[in-house]
Amino acid sequence: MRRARWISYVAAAGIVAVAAAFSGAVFGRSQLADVVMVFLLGIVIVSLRLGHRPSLFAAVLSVLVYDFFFIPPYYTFTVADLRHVITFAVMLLVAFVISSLTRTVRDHAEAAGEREQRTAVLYHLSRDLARAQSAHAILLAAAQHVAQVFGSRMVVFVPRPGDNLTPLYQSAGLEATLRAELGVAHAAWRSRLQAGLSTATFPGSQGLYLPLIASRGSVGVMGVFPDDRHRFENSDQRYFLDMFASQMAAAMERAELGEEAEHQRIQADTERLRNALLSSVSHDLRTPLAIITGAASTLLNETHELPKDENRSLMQSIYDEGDRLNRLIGNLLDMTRLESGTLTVKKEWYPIEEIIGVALNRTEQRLKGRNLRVTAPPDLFAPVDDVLVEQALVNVLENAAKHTRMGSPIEIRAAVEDGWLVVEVADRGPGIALGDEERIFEKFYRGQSEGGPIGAGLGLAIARAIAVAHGGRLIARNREGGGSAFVLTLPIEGEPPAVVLDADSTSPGAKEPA
Amino acid sequence: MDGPLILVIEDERQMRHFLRVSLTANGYRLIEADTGAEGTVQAATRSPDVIVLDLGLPDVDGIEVVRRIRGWSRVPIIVLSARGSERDKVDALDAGADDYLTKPFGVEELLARLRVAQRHVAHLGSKEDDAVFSVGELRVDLAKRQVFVDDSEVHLTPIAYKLLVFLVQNAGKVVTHRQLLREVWGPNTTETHYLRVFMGQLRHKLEADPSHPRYLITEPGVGYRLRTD
Repeated sequence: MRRARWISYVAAAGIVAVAAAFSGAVFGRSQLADVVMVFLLGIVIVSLRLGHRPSLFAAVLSVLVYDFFFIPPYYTFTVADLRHVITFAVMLLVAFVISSLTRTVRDHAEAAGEREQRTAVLYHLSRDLARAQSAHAILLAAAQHVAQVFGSRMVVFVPRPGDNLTPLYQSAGLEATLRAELGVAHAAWRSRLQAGLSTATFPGSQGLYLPLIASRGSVGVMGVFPDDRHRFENSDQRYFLDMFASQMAAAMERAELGEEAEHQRIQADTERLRNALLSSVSHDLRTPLAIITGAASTLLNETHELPKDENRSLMQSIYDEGDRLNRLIGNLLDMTRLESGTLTVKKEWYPIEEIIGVALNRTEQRLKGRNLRVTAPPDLFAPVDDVLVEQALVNVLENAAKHTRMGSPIEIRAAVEDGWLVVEVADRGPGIALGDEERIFEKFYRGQSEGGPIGAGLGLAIARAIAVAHGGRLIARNREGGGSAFVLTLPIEGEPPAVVLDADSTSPGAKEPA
Repeated sequence: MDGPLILVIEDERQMRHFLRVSLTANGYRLIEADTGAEGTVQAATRSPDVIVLDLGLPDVDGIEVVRRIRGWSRVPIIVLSARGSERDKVDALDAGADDYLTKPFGVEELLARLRVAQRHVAHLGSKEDDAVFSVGELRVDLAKRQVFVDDSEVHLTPIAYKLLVFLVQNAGKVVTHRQLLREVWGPNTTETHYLRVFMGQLRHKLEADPSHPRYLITEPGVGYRLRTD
């Protein structure tokens, strides 16, 4: 089997010759029983080492040699005593039995060896597949194994809507073959049986196609393209390939399930957010609208005359609520722009003092009566998107306004710390509830407000999103002695452009921003 | 009835209604147009004193309307636009519009803008009239080239003074970065960083609290405005 046939037979003949020479020399023609034993030993050796057929050949040859050299009349095949014929028969029979037994033992050993090898191969495959995190990694690992174990190139098709198979992975150089053999892959997909090379269906194909069947059904079709066309003619090899395919199918299904779960999680998150947004938006938009509509309808009602100051207060509500609606819509638009990623941060070197000035200007009405203290070095420039950072500061200031009373101090401090721009807005309000330091930045989270109108819970979320878009951060903490501090930290990278200042000899005391 | 004549070019009927009611109550006369094309014709045939132009017209880009009117007329144009469209505002202003208002706005803001626009028209006739500009503690004597805060003279560098003079000449109106750069540094300068540095300098000389300015107001993304009230 392993060696060329005729060599086995020559070797068998040699062993028989050695047995004959040895028994002739040691026992001679008088101890025939011992001679037979030596011949049988030879047959055992042949059947162990050289296989079944050579051992049968050795058995027949032994009988002939024994007859020719040891049974009178010598040097002829004639047998004088009929009892010797019985010896021949027993010799043959014993030889057959030995040969068959050794063959069985050998086959078992061989099968066990092969099983061991396959187990090792499958173990390596499943280990690599388990390590693979994505469908793509699984396919790469599988392709490597198919190349190593089966000496073949590989393609994997997956179904796409409309019952079409699309190659998800293919080894290089298979494009043309795949176009020609797509039908064979479809045949394997539909029948859920192997098709193509070495099978009854389309045996002329280049590739052998196997359905990839996992616990929940078919996940695709694998095609293998052996370098040696005869490789899979052996049903054992095809069976082995089948096991390989089911391992792959299971791994692919696992990856698919993982992706599905991830997708569902994202969808659920989006859904939850959308619901929160809708309920929040509809509530926040309707409240001012209800006040406007109500106040306006009261003013329109002509059946009774309202006192002048009541009239006026209703009109004031209409105005205030309109303003609130405007801010709310502004916040919603900002959030949408920030989240959709359409917003681009256009950084330019700005004096931080100017940005604080604009933010204070925009919040003048709502910060009325607060004791403001600003510390900002006039020469502090930072690369920021002015409109965005102003908005972030406005939102933080509005939050401070919401949580403080008239006469309460609000401190704004800007400085450079470790190469970062730090802007701190600190108040003496009620501070942040323990454990809420992060939650207040969540969308639609509303803390307890000091009386005034509650916002949509978007202001701080927007401010933080702006900080993050700048590569910075916004955090909140409680202050010693009460109140909260919001700290905006933004990166300062590069140098501001140089500015040529003109002569200014008349005011030596003035500080020149440079 | 011969109050100033205002042309309102706005497609929203309710918006026109609000403007008609509030402006006529304040002594203005009104003509209305609901498209850019009609507005352009009205501007030519009725010679209004001020035009209030919505930038979001259905038929033609508001900026284009500004350009067409500027082809033959210096009539003050105040544009109306939504928040977040700073680019449109700057384009309209650079195309020749005089000022802008962000929707929604109160009638007080609109009246203030109209007053500023009319005053500038009046100035075009007699340039020497207001040689001294003053607002709050700030006083600028254009003839003597002197600046006072709280009655004490402030010395400015030539560039800072040039900057201030241009703002004074346009007092109350918004001026874009481009307009300021062109006026002070010449037509080829685009470095708005210069502007910010010198504006900071100016604030430190003129404002009591430079981080909370009263006179030199930054219009985010657009430019600066010297407050007049």
